[in-house]
Amino acid sequence: MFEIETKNLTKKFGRLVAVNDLNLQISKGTIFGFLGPNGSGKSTTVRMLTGLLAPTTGDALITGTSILKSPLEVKKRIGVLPEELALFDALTIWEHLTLSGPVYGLSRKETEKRAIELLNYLDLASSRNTYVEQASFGMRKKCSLAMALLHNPSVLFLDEPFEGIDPVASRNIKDLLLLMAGKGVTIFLTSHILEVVERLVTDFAIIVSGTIVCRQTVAETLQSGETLEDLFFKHVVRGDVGDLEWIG
Amino acid sequence: MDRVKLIITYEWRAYWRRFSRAGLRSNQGIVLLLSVLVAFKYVQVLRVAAANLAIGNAKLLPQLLTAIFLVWLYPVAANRRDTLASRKWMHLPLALGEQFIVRAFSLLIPPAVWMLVAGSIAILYPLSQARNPIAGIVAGLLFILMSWFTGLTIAHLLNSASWRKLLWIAATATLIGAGAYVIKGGRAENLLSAQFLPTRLVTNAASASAGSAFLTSLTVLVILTIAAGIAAIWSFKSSLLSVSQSGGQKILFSTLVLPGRLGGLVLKDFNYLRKLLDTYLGLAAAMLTCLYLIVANETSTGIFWSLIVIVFLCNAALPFNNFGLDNRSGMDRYALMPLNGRAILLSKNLAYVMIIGAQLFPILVLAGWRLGMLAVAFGLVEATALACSYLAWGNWMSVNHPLKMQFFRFANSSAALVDAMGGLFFGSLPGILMIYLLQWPDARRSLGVALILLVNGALYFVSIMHFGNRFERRRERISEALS
Repeated sequence: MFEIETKNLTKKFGRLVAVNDLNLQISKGTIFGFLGPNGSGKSTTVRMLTGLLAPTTGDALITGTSILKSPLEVKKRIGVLPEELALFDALTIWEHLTLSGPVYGLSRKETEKRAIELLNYLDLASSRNTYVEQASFGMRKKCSLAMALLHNPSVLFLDEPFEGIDPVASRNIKDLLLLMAGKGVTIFLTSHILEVVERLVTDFAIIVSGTIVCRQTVAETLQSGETLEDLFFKHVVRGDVGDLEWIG
Repeated sequence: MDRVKLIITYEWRAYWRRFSRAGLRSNQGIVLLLSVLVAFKYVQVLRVAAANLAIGNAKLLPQLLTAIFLVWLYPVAANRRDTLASRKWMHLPLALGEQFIVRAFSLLIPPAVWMLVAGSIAILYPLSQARNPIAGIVAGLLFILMSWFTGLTIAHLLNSASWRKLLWIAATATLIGAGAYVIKGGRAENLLSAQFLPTRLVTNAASASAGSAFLTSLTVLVILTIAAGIAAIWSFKSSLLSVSQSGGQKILFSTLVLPGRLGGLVLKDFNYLRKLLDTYLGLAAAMLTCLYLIVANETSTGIFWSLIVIVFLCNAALPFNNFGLDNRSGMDRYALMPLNGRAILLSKNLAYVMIIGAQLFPILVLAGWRLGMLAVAFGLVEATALACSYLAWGNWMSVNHPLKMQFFRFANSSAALVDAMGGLFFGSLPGILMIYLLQWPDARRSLGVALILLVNGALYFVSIMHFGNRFERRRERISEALS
């Protein structure tokens, strides 16, 4: 049984096909990288897999449970760092965590214990009473990440986890993800930072215009003598800087 | 000036885009009909005021001017999402004056404000019939301008926690003073035409017989208008530069912990609701009710029950737009949590019950002292039935007509104005029926009260079950309306 399995998952917005017939199987304990340029369908896929967006057709199973038939069961088992962070205005970082724990069935005492440990690890302890709208982007991202981890999920979805994060926190997050994967947690992450992905993930796919154009392991890529960046630009068209002659 | 014109053009475009996206066009026909009816009545009142002024009777004028002043507090209730936030212009090379003009004019874009402008200018008609028509018209225009600047100033100052406290203290002191005066038998219209008020200055300018009297009134009005203008620009500048939008966490609220899975969510929404001005309007109504129960020589159960209805009326907009203070990000968090729509609606409903409960608690204690425990028991049943009916209507409106709201402003249900007005009637109905039941014999009254409670409890149950499920289906559309 796969931890994440999509079956012809498709999302259309009017005429635009954002994700087209996606079929993915990801095993337990994998750190899976989902790569692609802006607007390629990465975040739409994450939003469908985490219950934020209903697919137009198709289904997905998370730890064997259908996202369509048992969405609440799926939500109990997953942790999510969404693209827009999903934080409430006018609440502090600490309040976000103490609000979240009991919703996932944790006792108040256990919630506070875990929250303190996570805040210390993510270097947020001194900012715990900061309102999220007054916090920096990096702090808000770490708050959302702490909420994703608080209930110890068996599958973790991270949308651009390293964007806007300082190097120390970035390193801490990488260590944490490796530890979690070692303990059997499946991690599905999207990122534009290809060097980081190359060092962290075991398995990846590149999506362009809603369709998977490449699916392999990092080991296979390296064996072929290519870097992940080389492979990425084989599939993604770049603009020509020569067109901007008027700049400078 | 071209730059200002260009920005206002884009503000105009952005407003109409949001207008159509948020589905504000619902009920527009009925709103128009109601507006025509109100305008018709207003014109009649203006005619009476004009006829009175022509014969030197200026009694109606202060009341009309007070209404105009209150109407121009509209920026305090205005939805900032209607326009592009002033802060977003800060990185452009615009002078403060230019930014202020953009801010002031952008608030005039909504069509509802055109009616306010027309209604305000119409006051010049009775003033033109007064003894000193030119002085009256100039005073009227100055008064409108001063009211506009005052509304802007208060709206800007509400962004600052310390100013909010000061304004709250001033408003409460004024209200308690005025309330005590009226409860003790004073006439409310005397308060509106007190010697030092701008309403009296306009009246003096229009109808004083001595030249020096109207000149003095005009001079004071000019000074007040300039002062209000300076205050509006100063407060605008302060609001642009201030970093913090939220007040510091009150010790009482930051240490408050609620049990259960939904405890954190209820507390979050309680903190949201206490940052809306409606809550403070309800608190003021509750304070006046307490004042009545303390100082009135004789108290009656009928008035006590009516005052409970008024407290609910002041808080009415809170349950009508449950998701208005959330944003797309917050809606995403709800979707990520392993909670169904019913649980999310319930958490919001419980937060409203906490707000109402905090306002009613001292009233019920004082009523127990003045009216006896039976009146309190019926009062409690009335409050429960009222809460159920407001929440039942509110759950329907919240899911079907969401509209973005802003902290430290009045709650906004203008996405469906007629539905909100219907909600005021529907929500208040249990209270009105209970007051009517006072005339019935004891045994039948108890039966009637039990029936009212049962029906409204059932309505609430059906509402949370049905609209909880509907919320799940409409979550994306609600997020869109709030973004």
